[in-house]
Amino acid sequence: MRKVSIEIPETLYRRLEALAGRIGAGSVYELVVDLLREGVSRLEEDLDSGHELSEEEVSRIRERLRSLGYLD
Amino acid sequence: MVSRPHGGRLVRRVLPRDRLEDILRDSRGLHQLDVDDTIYRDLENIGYGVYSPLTGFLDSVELESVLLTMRLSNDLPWTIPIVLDIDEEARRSIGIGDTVLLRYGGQPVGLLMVEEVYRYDKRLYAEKVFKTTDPAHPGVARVMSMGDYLVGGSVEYIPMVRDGYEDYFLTPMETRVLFRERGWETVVAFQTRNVPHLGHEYVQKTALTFVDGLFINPVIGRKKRGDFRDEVILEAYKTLINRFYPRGSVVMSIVRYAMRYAGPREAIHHAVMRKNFGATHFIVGRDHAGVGNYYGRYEAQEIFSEFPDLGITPLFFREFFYCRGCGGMSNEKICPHDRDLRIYISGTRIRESLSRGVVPPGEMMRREVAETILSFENPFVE
Repeated sequence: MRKVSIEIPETLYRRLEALAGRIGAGSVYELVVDLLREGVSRLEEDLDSGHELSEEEVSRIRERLRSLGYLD
Repeated sequence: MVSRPHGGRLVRRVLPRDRLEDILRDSRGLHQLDVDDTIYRDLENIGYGVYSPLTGFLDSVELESVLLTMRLSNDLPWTIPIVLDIDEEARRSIGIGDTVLLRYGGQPVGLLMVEEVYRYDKRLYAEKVFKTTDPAHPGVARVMSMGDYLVGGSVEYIPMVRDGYEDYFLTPMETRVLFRERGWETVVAFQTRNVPHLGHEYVQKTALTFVDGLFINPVIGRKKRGDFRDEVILEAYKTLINRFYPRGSVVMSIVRYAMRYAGPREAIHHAVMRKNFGATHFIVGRDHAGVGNYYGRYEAQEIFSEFPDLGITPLFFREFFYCRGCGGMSNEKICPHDRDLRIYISGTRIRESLSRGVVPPGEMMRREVAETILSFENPFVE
């Protein structure tokens, strides 16, 4: 296991603490690891599915940028 | 890699053209509401994702959270309330679940799906956002003149109004593609409401030294008498960029936005907007977004320490001046000389000089920039 230290807003920590109690997570630490796993998977899926823009949309944007002189 | 959008995903709430025609055909059956300049600008910024993750105007829970904690209810930093106010008469005609056609200058500009209509405390709003309830503060004055009710709900933006600056406007989606195409991994954003003087140039160039690209955002919109006209600011910047910046290192694109003059809170808001455009860094100068003497000189820089999770890196600058001892531009952090050797850049002095048709001193503004400004018959708002 790697040990890391991060700063999070106080309000978020209090919510994590309350939530850990309500859902029966052993500790804030355990809940944070679970949430990170979930969040990382979702981000990886988003990247794989390329949800942001389709190739067609990117081409249309490139065309506009060229017509306005932002791209050569 | 450019910044991730605030909240993780870029919002896009622009009504598709095919739906627009249906809406306009049936618009007589919809409730209609005229909105002012501030709300119209906010609507456009929600639509294009400049305000991601907002998808509409704040409901009462989110407003309270923003006022009291400077965060949305999910803990994401958000410091300026984005709200739509109505008066008593409009409140009587609008109900939860209604779809309202928003109009600006007589033209349809958006659809609002009403989720909540609620009263709010104007005094608390002013105290929290502006740190004052002084009616002489322009932001406080606006809040006090707003309707007594707010409407919360999601919106869809209708891009109908033309202001002549369409070719200078890029959406966050477009800037993100542009930065990638240029191979920029780090981008510093600079907001401006003024023509560029040497102080601006040195701040920008100092920042650009450490990143791949500079993103200059003139704010276009309502101005007061004596301000430089929008087209003058754009032309002055074009001269500066074309003649004095390395080719391919700068993107200039306008932002349509109504200033709140909320000082520190607004500095955070400006940074979030630039994060959504893809910027990784944001320049914060002296009295950023301030007005009068309501905020400390560097209060807008200090507030960033409360937001370690903002997701965009602020770059703090002291005031630049010309120093005869140094023989060039300097600032109080790096200049060892006495004040009497310094020539401070005065916006008032530059404006006075230009209004007489005279090029300001070379220690304040480049001659080429001044000549561009003077090529306009009247560079000032009347």
